[in-house]
Amino acid sequence: MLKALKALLTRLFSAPPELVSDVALEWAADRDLLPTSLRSGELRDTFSAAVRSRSVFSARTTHALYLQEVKDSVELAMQGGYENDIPMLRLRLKQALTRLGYTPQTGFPGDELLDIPEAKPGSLRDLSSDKRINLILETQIALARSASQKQRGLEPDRLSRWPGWELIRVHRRRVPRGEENTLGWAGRWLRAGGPVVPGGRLIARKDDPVWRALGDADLFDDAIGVDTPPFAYNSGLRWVEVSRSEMESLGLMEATTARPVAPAPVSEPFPDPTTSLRGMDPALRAALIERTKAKRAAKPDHIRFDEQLTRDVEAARAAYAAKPTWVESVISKA
Amino acid sequence: MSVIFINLDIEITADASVLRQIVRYLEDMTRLHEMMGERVENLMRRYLAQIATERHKTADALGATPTGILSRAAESPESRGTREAAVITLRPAEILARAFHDVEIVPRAGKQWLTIPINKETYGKRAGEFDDLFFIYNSESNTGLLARRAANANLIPMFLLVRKVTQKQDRTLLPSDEAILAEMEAAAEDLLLQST
Repeated sequence: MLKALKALLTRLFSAPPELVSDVALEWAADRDLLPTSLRSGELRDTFSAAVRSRSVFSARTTHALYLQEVKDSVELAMQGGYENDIPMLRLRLKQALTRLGYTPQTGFPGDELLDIPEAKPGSLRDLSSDKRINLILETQIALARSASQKQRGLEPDRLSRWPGWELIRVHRRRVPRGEENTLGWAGRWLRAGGPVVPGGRLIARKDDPVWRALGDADLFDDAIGVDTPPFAYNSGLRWVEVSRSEMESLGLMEATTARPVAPAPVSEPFPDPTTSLRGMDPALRAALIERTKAKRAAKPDHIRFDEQLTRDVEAARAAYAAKPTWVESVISKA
Repeated sequence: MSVIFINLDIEITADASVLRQIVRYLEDMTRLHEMMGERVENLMRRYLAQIATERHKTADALGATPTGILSRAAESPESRGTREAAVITLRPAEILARAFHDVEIVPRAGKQWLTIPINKETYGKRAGEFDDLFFIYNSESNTGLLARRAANANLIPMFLLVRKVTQKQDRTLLPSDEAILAEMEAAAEDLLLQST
């Protein structure tokens, strides 16, 4: 029997399309863009977890076209291929930033009026730094993979057979959490209310509140605000399923315990993008709002906008900057 | 698409096993295929996660940051079971294909060289990310070098350029056949237990 199986396993062939499982790729492709001038903490305060989980966004990344490039790069990275490795995609994103006029000092054209501070070149705030691009790509890929795991893992039959998740290390880190006076994952697990398991393994039922708590920014400063791995920025831990029999042997379930309950999906309309008018000349601001009929957003000094409005804002800024001052116009007529 | 499909076929032959018994009585193999797929998917994840955190020989030798490509492979397995088959989808194929056979890598169309990082700074990066490298050709070995000029005018080799690379098969990139078979057997036992 082993020989027959060996022959089958060493054979590579194309599976018929209906057998291909690409749930993660489909999830990644199905997200909306969320350009924003907000910082990470402000993003968590402004947009709900449900909205953030359906969006492609990055703190202080205001350009929709660049976000589209990020989204496309994530999907290409997930598909794989020699031309779709992270270094090639990183190069493409850097080229896109250059093409769109981004510099770490000035941001994208127009960012100077959005209260976005200058970024130190090479730092995490610099959108063109290796550090930043690597973080975006790795985080977005991981979120897509985990979302697919969650979706498939909560199917009723599968939930019965595999009622638990275990958090295991998948990415090696030079300095893992827990070293250099940081809180390690064992400590985070306890703070999040996770069950104590022999051997210190991080295992809980799929419906355990620990999975939401691990990503809660109120509990952990570096939490991303999601209920799937990676729960925190640069975390190298991911999920793997735990079988019913193992959950019972670990004392996390009884033989008679009903299967975990899959949470009801949250439906929330995707918000209109907003832009900040803070720091904009009052006369220009009033003229802009009047001409574009922009609606006020919930946040002070912000308006809701669509693509047309974005173009109008940029055109208005450019025209205003080109407009001569009163003195210049007087001199020119003299 | 860069993907590997592993078909968990249960065309078994000799020894009467749990698998063989259950196959004889099942009219619809869907559930068995789903259960086999789930078990092998989780086996793949655990195994790939284990080797991903351990296999960094080149990065360690160069003192560089690992690329994480095996870790991303560990995040990728998805299983699907139908009446006809159980299939595991794994990515990226260009890394995992070595589990099954030697892999020859050649430059893509229009290119002459493959660039191999040989410096801590270039590991995990493309030559295009550097703007201060120059090319040196070695006609004897038909290889090239992309180097940087140091402040003292010495050459710092950054990338080795070669015409092709052959990577030998490494079956340990994926779990052993025995481990996979054990999971398939366990799935069949689970199904048998559920049915009784």
